[in-house]
Amino acid sequence: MNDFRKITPGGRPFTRIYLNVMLWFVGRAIQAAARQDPAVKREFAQLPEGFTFTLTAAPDGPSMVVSKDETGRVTYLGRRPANHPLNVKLTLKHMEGLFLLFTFRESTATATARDRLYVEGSLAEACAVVRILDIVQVYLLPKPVARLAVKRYPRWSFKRHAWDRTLVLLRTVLGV
Amino acid sequence: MTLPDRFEFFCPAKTASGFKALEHLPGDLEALNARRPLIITDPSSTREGRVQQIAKAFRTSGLTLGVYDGIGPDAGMDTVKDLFDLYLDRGFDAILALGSGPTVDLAKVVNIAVSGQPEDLNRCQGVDRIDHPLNPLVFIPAGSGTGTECAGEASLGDRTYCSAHLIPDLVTIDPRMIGDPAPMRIVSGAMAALTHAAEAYVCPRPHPFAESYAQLAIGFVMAHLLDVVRAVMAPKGKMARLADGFSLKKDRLALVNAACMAGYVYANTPRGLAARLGQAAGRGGEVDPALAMGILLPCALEYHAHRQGRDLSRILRPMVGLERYCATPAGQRFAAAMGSLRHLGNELFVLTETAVPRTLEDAGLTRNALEAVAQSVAAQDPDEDLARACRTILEHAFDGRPLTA
Amino acid sequence: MRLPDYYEYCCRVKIVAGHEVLEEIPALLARLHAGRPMIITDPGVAAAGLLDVVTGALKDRIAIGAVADAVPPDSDLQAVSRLARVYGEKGCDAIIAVGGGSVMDTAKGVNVLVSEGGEDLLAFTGAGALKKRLKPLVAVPTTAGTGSEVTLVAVIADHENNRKIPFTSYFLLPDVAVVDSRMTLTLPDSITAQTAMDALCHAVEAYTCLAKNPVSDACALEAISLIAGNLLQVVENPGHRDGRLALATAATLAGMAFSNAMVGMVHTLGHSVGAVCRVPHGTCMAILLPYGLEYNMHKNGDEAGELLYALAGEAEFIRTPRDQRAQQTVARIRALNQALHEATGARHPRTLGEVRDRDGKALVPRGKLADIARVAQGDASIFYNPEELDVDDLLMVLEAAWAGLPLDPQRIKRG
Ligand SMILES: [Fe+2]
Repeated sequence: MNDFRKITPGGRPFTRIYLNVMLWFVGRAIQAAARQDPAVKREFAQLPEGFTFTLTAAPDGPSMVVSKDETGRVTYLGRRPANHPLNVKLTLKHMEGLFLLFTFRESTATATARDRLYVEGSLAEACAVVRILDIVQVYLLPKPVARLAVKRYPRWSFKRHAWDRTLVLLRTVLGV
Repeated sequence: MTLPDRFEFFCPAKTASGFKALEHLPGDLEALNARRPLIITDPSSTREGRVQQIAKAFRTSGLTLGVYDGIGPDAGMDTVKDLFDLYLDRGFDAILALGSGPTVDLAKVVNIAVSGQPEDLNRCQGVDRIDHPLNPLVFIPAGSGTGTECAGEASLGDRTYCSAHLIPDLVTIDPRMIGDPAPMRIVSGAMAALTHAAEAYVCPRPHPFAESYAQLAIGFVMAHLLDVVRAVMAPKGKMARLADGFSLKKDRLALVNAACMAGYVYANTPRGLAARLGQAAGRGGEVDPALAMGILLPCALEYHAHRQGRDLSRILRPMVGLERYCATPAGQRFAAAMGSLRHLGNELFVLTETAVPRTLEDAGLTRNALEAVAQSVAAQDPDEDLARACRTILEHAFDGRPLTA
Repeated sequence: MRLPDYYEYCCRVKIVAGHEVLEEIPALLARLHAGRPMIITDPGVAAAGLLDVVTGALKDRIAIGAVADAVPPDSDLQAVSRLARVYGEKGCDAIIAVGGGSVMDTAKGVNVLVSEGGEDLLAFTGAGALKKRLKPLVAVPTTAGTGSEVTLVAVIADHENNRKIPFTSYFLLPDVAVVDSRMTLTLPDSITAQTAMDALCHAVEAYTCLAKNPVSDACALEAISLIAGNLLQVVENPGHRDGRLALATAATLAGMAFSNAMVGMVHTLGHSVGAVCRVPHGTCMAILLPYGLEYNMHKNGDEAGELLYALAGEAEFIRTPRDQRAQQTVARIRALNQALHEATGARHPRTLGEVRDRDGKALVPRGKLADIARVAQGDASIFYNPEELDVDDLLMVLEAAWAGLPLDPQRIKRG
């Protein structure tokens, strides 16, 4: 069998680092927006106490976990806190899918339409999570990029665009 | 279309096509309960980097890949035996068949053996003799097949197997897998696909399931084949080639989709006259059967329409699109469809500098040989009408003459 | 024929359709190495005499292991476990599901339990929880609407926790769908209208929403042609066998289309109207379909315009200027609803305000629309809708559908 060989495909260390950084940002931005933005506040208010969700890639790609505690406070819990029961899990079928998402070549809607994203847990709550992610992307990204990431770029007041955005970004970086 | 009193359709293959399709493979294998895939392919796949691309797409999947890239032109039962041992000894649980026709056939035959006993290779020959689902088999087209890889057939030497269980579980069409274009292979694959799809319209009980797939195959071939051939034949500078590269990729992806769709149709409809006559004409070896099919196709369709009174005008729709179809008066549609087919053939003849024949005479057949071809098809079922039909179609295709009422 | 950048298509179900195909079930089961099926159905099907048609067609050719004819309209975990026990006790080796969406969902759930063992269906919820082929499942649809004979989803209610649990896996797909015209021959006219409009919605939304692909497109167009060409005829002449087969085939084709291309806001809203006000699914679909097309028209007007060909035929298609086709498609669907309204003696409602229960009481009070809009925000089909919908948008559409007024284009926020 000269024509046979075995290939053990390598990892993608640099992609992994990039995605971890991006997920850290988004996780902290969700935490920040939950304290600053009225719409995100409202979304979280309707989710149950202890609500926890994750965004990740199969089989063991980078991930982020965000949770709302008993007091209603929303926190970014890091990459993969041990034994935290999940209400909603958004999984990209492969790391490349997550990479496409975070290089803004595919939006969550596109990833869903292309069968690259699946949801486990409560679908109704997953819808809320996607709405939150959309708002956070509008905060984080410059308008031309955000337009690709959401179906409809929202018409926000000047205050929300300028003042709230500054605070969300500040809170994201500082983690408060 | 009125529906027939009874009809059936079965396409167990999942199709995944396009950008980053390969990256979905590990997950799709997992869904088939497979974790140890073995790639079976020919040496060109490694040489041209396709195997490496698959390996790249498997990064972060946590899976390892077995690769056997030694399928040569005359691989036979010895290779099957070797691969049988390899598969079982190393604990593989799925096959990724990468390439076209013979490679995929061989992979399917290996799968029969590893999914049951080696004796199955003898027991399961013929039609519908496989009585259990086989292990997962994925077909990854490399862009030079006819689409019959997607059907439930495999042949190796003088063995043939025919069963729906041979239809791949998954067909993953990725632009990165579509190899360097050899124009004649592309044309011949497209002509086979076109014929298999178009002849679904003349099967005894046509129905919307098969015709849905057939429309796609016909539409994609008619819309993209000439562009592909034009792009690969035209002598151009590097820059122009580069600019063409992007649209060429899309066009070729469409052609591979066409072939696969035609393969699913092929698995669900009986062979039509153009397919059977083309096959028979190619048996001598001097004519490419698929190119012969392309020549025979309009004549065969005309035979059904004009001599048997079948209404085939709806076949124009996928050929020219909804707008032009509706603009064509009902009474002209069939003629317009045959016009489109002949136009395609003639353009190919010119673009390939006469390498693609327009008539059976161009193809190198002699008029005397026609009778033998007709006989070999007519002998498959003793019916005087069939023999006459074969002769009529062959004669018209020989001269390149439309067959009228 | 557009080829998307990436698509997946899969329908592993073998389709056998015709006027007398129930008789083939024993042979189909034999090919799957099964010979003692359990028949699962609901009281309505049994009362309509359809169960007798099925058993009559099977009799002498196969041993029927058990007949369970009491599947409730929203089947739950308990019902599934109970049926799974019966399956085991009677030594069955396959399932024949005869009915509509609820029966199909139940049968898929039962199949999980009898194939995987155990009592707890909840253990098989997550993605990839099912790893291997289940027992042979033959689906015999009796409604010509839901398409669940070819879908890979089963929704089972968990009444204890007041929730609905979706199960999704290719392994849930039936092995064979046996589409026999006799199964829909006795459907009352208003149910025929509702279910066919559900199928029409599946096809239209599959063709116009975000996950469309060439195969689903082709299936959807064929389905729409068959429905448009046969529905009114069948409603007026219920015994029309060929028409019945055409509608049943269309429902299956539409099922193949939408189980791959998914559905959009018509279902988002329709599911919610159904959940909040207990309106039959098909009724919601018929009323809301024109609004889904209107709302998304600035994004998918080309696709909507192409549907005019399938809905109204080529003469009207070619007569209508290209930029007016999408509008004409909407007009055609409204006209179809109006014709069904007339043909069924006003039992086919045209607006949400018109929907009544058997005693003539309005089922969708205007005051409930805000609740419906809120529920709709949690329906996952919203992902596949071309245009964004926030809660105000949902309410705006509901208000219009309640009153039967076209959408005000000024109020549609374009992304
Ligand atoms: Fe529906």
